[in-house]
Amino acid sequence: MSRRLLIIAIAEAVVVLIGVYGYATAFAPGASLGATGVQTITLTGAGATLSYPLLSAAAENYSSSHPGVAINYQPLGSIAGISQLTAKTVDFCVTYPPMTTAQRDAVAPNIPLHIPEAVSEVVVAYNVPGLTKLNLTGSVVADIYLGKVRYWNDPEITSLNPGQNFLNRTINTWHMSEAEGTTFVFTSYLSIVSPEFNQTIGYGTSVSWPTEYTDPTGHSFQITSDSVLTDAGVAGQMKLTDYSIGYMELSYALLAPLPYASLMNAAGNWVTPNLASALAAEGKLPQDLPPSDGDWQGINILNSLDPNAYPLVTFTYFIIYQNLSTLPTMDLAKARTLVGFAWYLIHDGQSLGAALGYDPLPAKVVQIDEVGLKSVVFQGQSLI
Amino acid sequence: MANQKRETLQDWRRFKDWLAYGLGALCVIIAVIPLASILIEVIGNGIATINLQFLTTVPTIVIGSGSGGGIGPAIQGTFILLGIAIVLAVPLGLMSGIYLAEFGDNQYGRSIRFLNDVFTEFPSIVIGILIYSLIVVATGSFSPIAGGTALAVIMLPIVTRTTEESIKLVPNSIRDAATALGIRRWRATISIVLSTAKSGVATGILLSIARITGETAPLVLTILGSQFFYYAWNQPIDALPLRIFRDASLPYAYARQQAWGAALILIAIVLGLNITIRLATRGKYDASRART
Repeated sequence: MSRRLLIIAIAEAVVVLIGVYGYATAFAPGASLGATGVQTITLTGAGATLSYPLLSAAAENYSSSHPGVAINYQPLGSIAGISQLTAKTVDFCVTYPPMTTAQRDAVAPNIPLHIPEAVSEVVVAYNVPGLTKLNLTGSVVADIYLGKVRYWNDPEITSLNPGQNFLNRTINTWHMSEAEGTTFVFTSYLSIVSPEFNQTIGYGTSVSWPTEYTDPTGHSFQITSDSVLTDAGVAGQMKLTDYSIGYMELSYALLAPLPYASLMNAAGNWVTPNLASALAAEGKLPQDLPPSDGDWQGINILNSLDPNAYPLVTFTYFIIYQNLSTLPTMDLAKARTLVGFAWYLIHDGQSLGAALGYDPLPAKVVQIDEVGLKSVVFQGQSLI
Repeated sequence: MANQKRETLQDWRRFKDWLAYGLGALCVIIAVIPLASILIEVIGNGIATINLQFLTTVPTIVIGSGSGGGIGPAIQGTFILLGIAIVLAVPLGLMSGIYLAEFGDNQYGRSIRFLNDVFTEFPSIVIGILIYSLIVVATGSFSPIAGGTALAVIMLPIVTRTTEESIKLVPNSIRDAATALGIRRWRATISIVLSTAKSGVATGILLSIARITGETAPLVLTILGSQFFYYAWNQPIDALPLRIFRDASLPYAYARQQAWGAALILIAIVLGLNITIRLATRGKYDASRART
């Protein structure tokens, strides 16, 4: 009796294994390549949702022109990406903000290379039925998140938008619950333009958002505020929430689609996030940018003084180790592919960004990236 | 007079009976509503997505490009993970269960039983973190091995417990009969006790498989997720619960559609397992009850 059971069990196991094997060989990317003798190389990366649309498009394009290469990028959030790179479980990470001194110390003696890979714009998106155009200043956005402005027909909003009809509806704010580069960009900007925001909330990849506002006379007001994971989550939830406002990378607002506000820049002009306004912000880059293996913490192009610049513009960084031998799963072919993909990303890959709402890297940043990528080694061997 | 009194008493009893019956039925309806609503919602939203291409192709890599592609890698990944978990957990769980039921009536057995019960209720995310630090960090990559091990760890205490319970249901008279015939104890345990309890043991194993099929939390930390089919033992793979989790958080209509489709497939797998268990063991349960 038990022998029969054993035979059945073995037969079942065999069937399952054959099934899995057949399934794998029939559809795996390597299956069709096996015949042509091309080895499958896979790169694994994790990090910012900010750059996910661009990276996924670049990965798809690079794989189609390089048979046998599969690039797996998972948008876990900037901080999670850095943690995974530190634990050496991924080949690269993508992040905004740049690594902090503590994060660099954690990977020492390895040197993380910061390769600025895209210029992104963070937008203030809204979902208000009937409203297709909205002007906001940074300090009004700060007041909305602080809870000082809680209704769409608040004078602070209506005075910026003459001729538009606002209803007395509660503003539902959305923010990200996970440590995200987008939150860092957004809160950094609001901290620059609003001293009160800086004092009460401050800036960081995750901050503690207030749930109520207490006015000077001591009255408390509830703030209608919700949180969800990642840019994509905020965009998704805002589509379902009328009278909401939230922040996200431009490409998510374009893909959702959600309308987004024009902001008043540091020079006092109304600007919408687009190629021209991002290029204007890039024009105000400091002259002495650090090299790729240097510290990029001080570099930001937020709240640029250029009269045409959009204020919420940022670099995102593709980070790899300078000495790739440190990764346990690395080999020479994989290391070459990794650097090749990064090279593609900062050159040809930039053209993919236009349709997705990213802006091209300034020439001098591309030069820094090139020097950085040329310094990458695997077992003492240069890769480009 | 007395007759009338008896009649009212009977009416009262009948009313109480009816009331209890009604309340019972109401409870059943309340319990079934969430299940039915989930099934209707998932089938209604997911059925339109299901076709051969959806089940066998890879998802689109470029997000927001309109069509989402298929969930082939997720289905494949789920089966690979289940396979690894079964291979790791079932033999070990079976042996532990036999030990606890047949030989575990001592201090050592009691402490194992206690720890096993604690383990059953362990948060699966903690098991994910454990496997992450033991396997993912050590090998330097997210892998099906790590994911399968995490699921096996969740599965192990359930298999152990159900094996022990169903072996304990085997009447002592059968053991005595085996001993009386001069069969050695180990031989009697395997050929007679285990064989008698096998439907219960099989049920336990299938239930534990159904339980781990939908686990998401430990997978986030062990397989990472992927848009590609399995290609190496040390590379990330995809799984249905993870794909649903990631898709559902994307703002695009195609991603939500894909998530509904994946949810339908996942529910079909779990429901299929449960129905198989019911059909396979119904008769046997009745028979075993009649025997004792």
